[in-house]
Order: sequence, then C-alpha cells, then structure tokens
Amino acid sequence: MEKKLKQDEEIQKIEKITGYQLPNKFKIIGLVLFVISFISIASISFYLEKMKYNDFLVRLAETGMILGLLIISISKEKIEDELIAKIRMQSYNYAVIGTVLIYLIMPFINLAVVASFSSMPKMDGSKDVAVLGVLLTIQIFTFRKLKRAYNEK
Amino acid sequence: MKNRLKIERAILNITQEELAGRIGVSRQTINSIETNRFVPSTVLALKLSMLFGKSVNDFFELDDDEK
Repeated sequence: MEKKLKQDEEIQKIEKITGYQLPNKFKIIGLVLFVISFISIASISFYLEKMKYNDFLVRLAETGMILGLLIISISKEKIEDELIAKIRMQSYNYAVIGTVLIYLIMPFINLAVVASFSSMPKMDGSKDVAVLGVLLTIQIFTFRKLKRAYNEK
Repeated sequence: MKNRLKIERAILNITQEELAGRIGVSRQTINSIETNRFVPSTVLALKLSMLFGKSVNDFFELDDDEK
C-alpha cells in the first residue's frame, strides 16, 4: 500500500510539471516577447556592435526569444481537451527527435562545406552534444520512472 | 475503430459545435472522432454514451483487424 502511494506520488510529481500550462492569453505575450527579442538581437548587433556589454545584451535578447517560444509552447489552447493533449505530445516527440537528428547531422554538413573552402576546417557544435545528451537522458529516465510507477501493483 | 457518431448526432439533431459544447471538447475533436482520425478516451466515450442514452458499444465498434 505504502509502495503504491509512493508510485502515485511519483506520477503526480511528473504530471505537475508536464501538466503545467499557462492561460491562453500568454500565447500573445510569448509572441510579443519573441518578436521584441528578435528585433533586439538584430538592433544590438547592428547599432551597439562595439559596446562593452554587447555579448551580454545579445545573450539577454536570445534568452528572451527562447523564453517567448517556451511561453507559446506551454500556453493553453482556447479549448484544451484530449485531442489537443495528444497533438501537443506528438509535436514534442517530433521536436525532440527532429532536433537531435538535425543537430547531429549539421556539424558534418558544415564541415564538408567549410572543407571545400579552407585547408584547416574546424568541427563545431561540440556544445550541442551536451544539450542533446541532457535532453535524451531526461527523456529516458522520465520514461523509465513513469513506466515503473504505472506498472506497480 | 469505426463509429456512428455522425448518425447519433443527426438523430439528436445537433451540430458538431453543440455536441462539443455539451461534453466539453472542441468542435475539431468531434470532427476528428467522426472522421476516425482520433480515438477518444473512455471518459469521453462514456460522456457521449450518457448524452446519447446508449451503450458505448452501440456507437463504437472495433475494426476487423483490431478484433
């Protein structure tokens, strides 16, 4: 009984995170944040190129841009039902697999392109490997944890 | 899975929009079920059953390859 309760707690804990959604109006807020941040990146790079805090400002705008997309992603639809939940899950699945494949292949394509122009081609994208590793590790561990929790008698 | 949702809806003489409103889903969800693109959960099937006053088996049926 105690074990069952523990497994239920595990499921609820993960559902608390995966089920968390912002109200629908946040889609507009996310979009505005994304557009402002996107314009800011271009403006900072163009007008404030030689400023001391250029890197910091660009990073700040990039963070805003990604936060904007995240807000759009976790905001509810006007009517949130089980079809929307299924579509959302499918789109996350597609996004994860697509991102992993693109970021694994892109450095090799870049290298091939650069190699045709340069005699000392350099492989980039080493930081991507860590991000992809974290992404997939979290997915695998969460999957295993949930599978165990749901199967517990 | 096959279903007779469209027929049952016609019997009640209600639109997809009205049916959706009564069971708390979107019109797109009703349309997806009617066109067999989406299989609803047991909860949703039971809500439909209550609304139509019929057993779930009366309007949902497994395909031959699912039996």
